[in-house]
Amino acid sequence: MKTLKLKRVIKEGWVSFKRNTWLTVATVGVLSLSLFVIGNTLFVGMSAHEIIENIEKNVNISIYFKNSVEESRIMEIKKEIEKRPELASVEYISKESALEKFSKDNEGNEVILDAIDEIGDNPLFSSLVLTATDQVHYDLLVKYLENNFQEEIDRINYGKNKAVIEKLGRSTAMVQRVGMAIGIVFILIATLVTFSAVRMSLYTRKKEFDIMRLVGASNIYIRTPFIVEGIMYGLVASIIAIVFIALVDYGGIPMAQGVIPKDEMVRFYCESIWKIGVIIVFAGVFIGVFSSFISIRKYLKI
Amino acid sequence: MPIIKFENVKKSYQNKFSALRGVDLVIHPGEFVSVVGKSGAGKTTLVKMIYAEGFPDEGKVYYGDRSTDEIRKKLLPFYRRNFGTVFQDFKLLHQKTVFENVAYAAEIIGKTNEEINEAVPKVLAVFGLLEKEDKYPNQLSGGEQQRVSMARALINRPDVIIADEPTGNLDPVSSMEIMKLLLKINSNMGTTVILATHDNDIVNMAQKRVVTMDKGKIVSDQNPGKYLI
Repeated sequence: MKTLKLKRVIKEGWVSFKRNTWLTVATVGVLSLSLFVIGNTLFVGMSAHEIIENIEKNVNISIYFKNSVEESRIMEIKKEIEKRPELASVEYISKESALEKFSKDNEGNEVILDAIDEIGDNPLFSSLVLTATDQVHYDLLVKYLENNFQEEIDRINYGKNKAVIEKLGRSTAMVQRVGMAIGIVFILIATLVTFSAVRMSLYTRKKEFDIMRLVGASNIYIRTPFIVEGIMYGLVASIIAIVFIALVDYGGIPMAQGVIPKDEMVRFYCESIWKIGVIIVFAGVFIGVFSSFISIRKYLKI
Repeated sequence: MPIIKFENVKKSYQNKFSALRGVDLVIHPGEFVSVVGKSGAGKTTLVKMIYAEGFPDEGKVYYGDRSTDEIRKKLLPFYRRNFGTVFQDFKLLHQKTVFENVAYAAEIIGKTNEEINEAVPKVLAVFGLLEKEDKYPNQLSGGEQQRVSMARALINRPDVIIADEPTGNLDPVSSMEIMKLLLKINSNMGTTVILATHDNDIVNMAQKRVVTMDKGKIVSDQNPGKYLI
């Protein structure tokens, strides 16, 4: 009997969802818009995080060794450095490879290439390129290098990167905080607006509830179709929102070019969009059900 | 044993208006009772208390051996299923067809679709509505709407039918039709009928027990028990 009643109330909810066309369009429209804003805020927040992480991954420090330091000694130093737990990777670049890369990078620039020829000897230094496991470890690594290998090191190019690294750290935290605040504000707005729309819909049907109660319908029998209706609002609104979020965010991918490779951004987009989709569906259904549940309580007081 | 009993029932509304001033009334199963009186005499307040839409300030209203003030709020919908109610304004669900309006009352008590599909046409036939089963209330006349309301009230075979001014919005011909149907329900099915009305013509036609109210009191109770089935 319970299954039969459940089937009936689900059917009632579906029929009511279809029947009140304009009210349904208004409620779904408002909820879709709110979910669209929430979804985009999420995507922007996640993208910012991804971009910053990507930039962080490419941040490193280079240690240039004096010309007098033999390659074998540099390799010894490399082994020593590799023992540091805060180190993610270290790469040795010989004078020759450095010159080769420099020449390749400046291909076509006759002035620079002529200058190199003029000098005759390779003017570049052998170096080690260090990447830390976390940007906060760079300070520690630099101090370690300066304390232990000062005699061999010509210079460390950390100074310039330091400012970038610190700025990135601050930006990441700020983007996350602002994103979260905007997200919360929009969830509240979406709930309030949907709540008002559902409440208005219920107000017009107050007489219906009285009749249902008079013929002996229990509160749960009256309430459940509206909860089902709330689920429908949430589902339809979230599907509409997801389609628009996917289109708009895909269109925004070129904006990240230059900061992050396009392939990388497309991969990130594909990975993120379904996660956002799941969040939006849950948020939509939750807002729909919560609004219906709270709104109808008022009308079911005996 | 009485099916309904009022024991010194008093009821006032917020504006201090005393709707009932110490009502005692006993109704037995199978009776047809017309409650008559002018507007404001307390008829509607009295019948509302039977199906627990209102509660006494003092005194008690019993359905069988159970007082309405003992019913927990959560169980009120289940209590109301003992009654079929018919109102002046029909109280039909306007988004549902005639068939669906009648079926709704059966659905809420958990009847199967097969049972509903069998019972609804039968009851619609009794009220001459079979051909109108797919119509919506706004496509029907007042008399037809009231007949739908009566079919809905009857579908679950309640012990008591309560009709509060059922002819109030109807023309004399439709009013007589409704009255005949109520009498038929009472005589053929043995259902107790309580009719609140100010229409003397239909009460005279019924030739049943008449309880007259004035200013919240019962001022006369004619033929009590005489027309018991």
